[in-house]
Amino acid sequence: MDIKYKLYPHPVLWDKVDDYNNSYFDCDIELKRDIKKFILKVNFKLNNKELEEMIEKNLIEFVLHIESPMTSYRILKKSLSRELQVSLSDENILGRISLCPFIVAKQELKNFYNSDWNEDYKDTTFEISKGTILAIGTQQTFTVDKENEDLSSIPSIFTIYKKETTEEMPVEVEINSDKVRIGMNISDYDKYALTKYSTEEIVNIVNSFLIYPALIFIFERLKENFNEYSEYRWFKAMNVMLNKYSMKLDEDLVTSKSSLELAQKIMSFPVSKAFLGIGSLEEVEEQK
Amino acid sequence: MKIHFMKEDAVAYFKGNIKSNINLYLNDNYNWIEEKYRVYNKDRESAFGEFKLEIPKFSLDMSNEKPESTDYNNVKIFYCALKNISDIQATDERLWAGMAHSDLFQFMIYRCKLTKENINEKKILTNFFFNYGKKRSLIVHPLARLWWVGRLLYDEKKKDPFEALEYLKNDFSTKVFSLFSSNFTNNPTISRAILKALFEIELSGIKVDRKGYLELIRYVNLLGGVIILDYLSEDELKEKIIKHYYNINKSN
Repeated sequence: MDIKYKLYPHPVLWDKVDDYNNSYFDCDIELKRDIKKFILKVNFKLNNKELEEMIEKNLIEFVLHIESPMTSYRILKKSLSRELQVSLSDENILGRISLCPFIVAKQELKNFYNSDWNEDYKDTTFEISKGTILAIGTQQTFTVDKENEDLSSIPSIFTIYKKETTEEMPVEVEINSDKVRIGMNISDYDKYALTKYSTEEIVNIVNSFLIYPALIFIFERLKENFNEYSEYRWFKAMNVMLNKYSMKLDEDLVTSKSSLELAQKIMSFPVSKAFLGIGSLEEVEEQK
Repeated sequence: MKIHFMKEDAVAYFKGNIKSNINLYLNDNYNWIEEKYRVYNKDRESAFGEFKLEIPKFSLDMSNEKPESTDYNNVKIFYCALKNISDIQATDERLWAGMAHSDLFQFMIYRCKLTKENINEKKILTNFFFNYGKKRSLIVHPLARLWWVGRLLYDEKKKDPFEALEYLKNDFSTKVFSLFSSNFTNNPTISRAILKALFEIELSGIKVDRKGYLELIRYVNLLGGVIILDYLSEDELKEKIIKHYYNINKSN
């Protein structure tokens, strides 16, 4: 679940709307790593006398909605107290985990009223059914990566394979998987295979015409449909690379920057590296 | 018994070479996979790895002329056997591509109704591999779909843990696609409530058609805009859905 800005048919205590005048609801979440699990220490913060009383009377309560879309895991933790501790097992969660705090009605509420409501609601009461959202806090997210996942280098997120054809064909790139898969025909692949364990200079030259355009292609796809790819391993690795430039791989970034620029940053300037590589190969030739 | 996943390099290779291997998918065994991969991979490494969990022996139902009608039974057989694999493992293309190309190769030919006449690249790509975003692929891949439907409907507290599966007995795939396209069905309580509501309505002699079914999904979506669906118990949500169904059909 992601909290989206929308209007409700009843007053909601939320910093995005002015249904309440001087009240406040939010929560602090502290995340701790434990053995094979995460511990969330949640502290709900509420400042509204009537809602506090309703919690004491067991009419409404705090909830934290937790979802890990990648593993189809979705649960709700309820609490009448401001403090809540939640344990999330590694088995269930992976990728982006979203945490959404709410206050909801524990039961049907007749004549729901609050003296801090905006004047628009003056003299109005509401019939509220069980489970209705009465207050919304700030959504928080955190990311869980697989243990021992190597996100430190770009080659680790590419798989290069041979297409069993001798026909002349363009290189193919597939990105709907944890690694980006690049396919090329037999003759290209066999030549590529020879360079695989070659000198750093040659690898840099190959990367500049193989990996670099593939990254530009990836950024173009991200511009079209950002959310479809955010759970893949290559995506997370690219985010780690961009963090070096104090950038975060999000929708704003891919729409505001050119794919060309982002791809070069990810690879720490492949064109310069390739030229350096060509330069040193020429030197070797001259020495011969 | 042991099940097998396909190694990353092998998935990339076979997924990228469907065109040249297409007719091999009509073979009655999968020996060709290892033969091909040995030639490709000079290290003579196997295309498959053994999955670390021991799985109880099972065999899927392949008895009906209409393979889609076995899905209902096969969810039960398959999920019960593979219940111990984790959610994370069950989102991995390598596992489902691996089983499809090895342990359950015969079943795949049966379930996808592969024949010389109808085989094509798209069919292989979509059924033997993941061809969409991760979440959608989990309900499109025939094996992943059996497991995930089981995972999202199984209720160990019930005498019949697969009670909620009843409504999916007919027209399994279509219903599964519409139901599991919404994020709220990630909560098994919500998925079960919807399916049990539908089953109860049908028990009273009314056939919920496609339009009626989609309307109920739409209703649950709308309801989720104001209340937290996860907050309601299975029965509470089920009752709301049934009530809504009768309300709109009364007014029509």
